[in-house]
Formats: sequence, C-alpha cells, structure tokens
Amino acid sequence: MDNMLTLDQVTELSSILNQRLAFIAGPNLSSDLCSDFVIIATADDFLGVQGDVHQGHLEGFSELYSSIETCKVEKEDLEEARKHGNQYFFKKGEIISRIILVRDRVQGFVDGKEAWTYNSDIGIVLKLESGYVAITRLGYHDEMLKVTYLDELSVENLPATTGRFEVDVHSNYSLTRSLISV
Amino acid sequence: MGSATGGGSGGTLPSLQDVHSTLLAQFPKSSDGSKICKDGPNRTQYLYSDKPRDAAELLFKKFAQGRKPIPMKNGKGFVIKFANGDRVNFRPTSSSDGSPAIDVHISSQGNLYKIHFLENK
Repeated sequence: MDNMLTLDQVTELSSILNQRLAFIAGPNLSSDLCSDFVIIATADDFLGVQGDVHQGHLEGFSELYSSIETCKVEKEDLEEARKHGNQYFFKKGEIISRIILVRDRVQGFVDGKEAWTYNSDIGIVLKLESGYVAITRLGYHDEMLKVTYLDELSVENLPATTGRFEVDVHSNYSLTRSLISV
Repeated sequence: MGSATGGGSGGTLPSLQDVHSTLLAQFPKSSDGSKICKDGPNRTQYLYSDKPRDAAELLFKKFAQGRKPIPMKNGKGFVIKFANGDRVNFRPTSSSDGSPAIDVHISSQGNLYKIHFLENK
C-alpha cells in the first residue's frame, strides 16, 4: 500500500522554494509544536500542511492510515493563530533553499518472509540558511503533526512515529526512513 | 522561538501512560474481549454498554484530566495533547464500523491502543 503526496501537492510545496520564511503557525499549534494543522508563512505566501486520516486496507486488515497533505490557508486560520500567540518566528528571513520529503517504508515479515510493504510520506523538511524546519507525522494512524527545528538533518533526529504494526513470534516488521529532495 | 499560550501539555498533570494504566485498571480483565483489558500492545479493545457514545465521551473526559479537547481540522474527531507527543483521539464515528472510538498514542512506547465502544450484546 502506498500513501504519498500527490504530484499536485509536491508542486504546491515547490512554490515556497527560494522564498524567505516569515513564521510557522497554527490555530492550535501551542508551545509543544504539535497540531494537526501547520501554516508555513513566507514573505510572499502561506501554505497549509494538514494531517488527515483515510480508511486503508493492508493485507486484508482495515485500519485508519494517516497522510500529510498541503492545503489552502484561510484568513480565519491566521487570525486564530495570531490571537492565541501560536506564531513562531525562529529563523525568520532565512531563504528556503531546499524541500525534502521524509518517506517511510515499513515491511512486514511473517515467518521470515516479506508479507507486505507500506510506503508513506511522513514529513516535509525545509532547508534554511542556518538549519532545518521539519513538519512530520507523529503517527501512522492519526492526524497529529510535530514541528521540529534542527541544526543538522538526519533520519535519527526526527520524531518517532507511533503505529499498530505488531510483533509476535511469527510476525515482525522493519522500518526504513529516507530523505528525498523535491 | 515565538510566543505561545496555553495548549494541552503540561505541568504537574499526570502523564498519559499513568492515566492509561489507571483507567484500564478500573475495568475487569476478560479473555473474551467483552470488557476493556490491557492484553498487550497494539490490540483493539472493546467496551460494551447501553449507550456507547455516552460511554466513549465519559472515558475521553477521564483521559483528559482537565485538559481541553481540540477539534481536528478535518472534522473527524477531537484530540487531547499530553507531553512528549502523547495524545488521545476521540472519534464519535469511526470509519471502520461506525462505532465511537478512542485511540491512545503513547510515543515513548511507539504504541497505539484503540478502544471501540459497542452496544451491549
């Protein structure tokens, strides 16, 4: 099963390339920097990043699977964020020089043999002049996103992801996380 | 980093792991799945009652421990945030079978517990 950003969403993401970051915000993005909806504000534009869930089927097992999606930012969203002080100006004015997708490949094994594969985009990273801003999903089955400011980018220093992939005497799974430039 | 107010994580309130353990201890264990029981990580648990929606709301409030539920932007439920990315989701109508459901995400364990609320058999 694949669960990745669409070509249109990647194109939308690319629109903020080479723009200056103004702030990161969200109506419910409090100081823990966790929310289902995050606004990337640049000097010229706004781009929304939203966590959503959809029913999916993996090996006959029906479950909610989450996705990360780009979306439009409404005036009310900005006003709510401002009203609650949920605007973060760290690294303001720095140019977004690269956009990177964080892609997970989860492989399930039964009795040592590969039984299923789940590919999913779990985050978006903006490369700035002095570091990175990552917006990543905290779970494989819910909407929550986490904003992380990083000096160095590696898969190890991105937040972990919660999931329902079970391990027992017959079943196991492995996770491979990769960084893909847009 | 910018200014911020409120939010749900915090302070001297108990952790989600503590709340989860305390709440599950209130339900008798059962091998037939007819009551909530902590039967291992990542299992779906079921709670049967006359009014599943009311039971789900009540348990969600207990999980909240005074925290304010936040409606999700996609309209598919509410979330309570704890420290370290831990969180509890309440979906009044789950997409799998339409029953109310609560998801408990404990980041430190990497685990998700799911509780479905069904009408008495």
